[in-house]
Amino acid sequence: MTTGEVDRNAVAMAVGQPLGDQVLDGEAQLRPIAVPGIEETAVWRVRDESGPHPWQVYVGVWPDGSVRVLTADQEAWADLVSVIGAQLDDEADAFAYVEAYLEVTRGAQVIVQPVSSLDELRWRPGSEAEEAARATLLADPPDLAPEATRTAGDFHVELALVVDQRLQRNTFDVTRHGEIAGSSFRVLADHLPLPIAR
Amino acid sequence: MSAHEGPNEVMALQHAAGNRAVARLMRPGAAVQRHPGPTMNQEVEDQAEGAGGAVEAAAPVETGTGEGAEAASVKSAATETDTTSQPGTGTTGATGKGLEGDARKKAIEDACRASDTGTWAMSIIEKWKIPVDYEYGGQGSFHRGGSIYINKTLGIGGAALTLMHEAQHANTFKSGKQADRTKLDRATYIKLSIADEAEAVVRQIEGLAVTSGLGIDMTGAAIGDDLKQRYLKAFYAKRDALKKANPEMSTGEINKISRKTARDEEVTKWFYDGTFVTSTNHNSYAVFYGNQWDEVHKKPGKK
Repeated sequence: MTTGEVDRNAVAMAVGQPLGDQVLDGEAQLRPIAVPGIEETAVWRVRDESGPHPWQVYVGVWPDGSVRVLTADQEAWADLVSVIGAQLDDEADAFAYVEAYLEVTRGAQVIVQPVSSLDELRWRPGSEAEEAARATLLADPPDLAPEATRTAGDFHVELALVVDQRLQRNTFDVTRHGEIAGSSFRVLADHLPLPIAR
Repeated sequence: MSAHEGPNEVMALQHAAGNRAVARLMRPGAAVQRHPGPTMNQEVEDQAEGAGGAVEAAAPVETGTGEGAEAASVKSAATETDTTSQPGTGTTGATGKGLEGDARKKAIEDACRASDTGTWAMSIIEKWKIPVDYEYGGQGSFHRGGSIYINKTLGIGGAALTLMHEAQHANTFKSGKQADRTKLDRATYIKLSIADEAEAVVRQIEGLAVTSGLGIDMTGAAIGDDLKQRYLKAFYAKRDALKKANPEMSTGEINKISRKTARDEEVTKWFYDGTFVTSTNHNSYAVFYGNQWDEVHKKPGKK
């Protein structure tokens, strides 16, 4: 049983029960995810919205047809890219590649949203502590501008992220072949009144 | 205090040194258990100044529970951000530490039985003979079709609180009261779906203080002090209004009405106002359930 170029049976086995049933009966949607620099059918989003909460995972398809979950598994991503290969041609490619990497490998219940300005934050009503943290942030806004630069043929990428209720700045060294050679982050503000994923 | 000291050792210390001494040794906000078995709401009401029975609350500690303590808490949350550079991306979610297999199951169930709310959750699981996977290796934790799946990455305390939440959904499902989008009108389906979620969240809030007070790993708890404070603010506002308007009303009746009001007005609002969003496209749950209904009703015959 296949959908486009992915085997639903292999996907069902990768995500396990009970959610594999939704994959097999067609309730779950399977959609290829474009990742700059790698083949179009290597990464798939699996999403089911029939239950009280939606669930979603990303899976990778290896050249031998095997499927593994990539959600919350950066090592699996690294293995996939090393096997299928990647080619990043410019800074824009590198930046989009990092964004895709963050989305695909985020924890299933973790909000990860790239932002370039505080105006993009979706505030919600907060506790007194959260409102105080928000006021502190707004009183001294950090620079959230993203940047991607070429360094000896490879790339250096920096971007700001909302990660659940915190704001952070992440830094990546990415080779032209898609290897995340280094990554680090610094928390800019925490305990903010931002949405909570459930 | 050693993390290896169990409830009996803690109680022995309480008898010898008193509750306040024990509370000072535990982290601020920790609950003090007076006897083996669950800590009941009424006991905690007596124990916690100003708690008023809203939650299974923490014992008073040196910082107190008044306005000064609130201000200190606000300042603490606003200023204690670690801004040093850390390796990795910080985006894959936290992973709890510790027990596996039967030891994990026992620890989670013991953590539940320490609180009134958790004891209720265990009674639901036993009543309906609900299968629980305490080490679910997939994504997330959830109830589905009469079974509960607790993710293996949750800490023992986080798992216990999650179990309290999912027990509510399992009870609704087993009772045949789960909202049916094929039969209900759109507004009713959204309202009933959110009502069950709101009750499940209130159960987590009620179990939070005692569970976290056990000093166990709360990784993945999903409910923290900030949401509890928002709930308590609504609860206390209703409680105080009732007390003023009805001096003869019993504490039990006041608490019951205040709980319902806080749930139906404050917690329910969280599913509409963007406090709680889906992990997929960050919609509110009012939008999510509305979309579910729309999907079914644009395809007649589809279950």
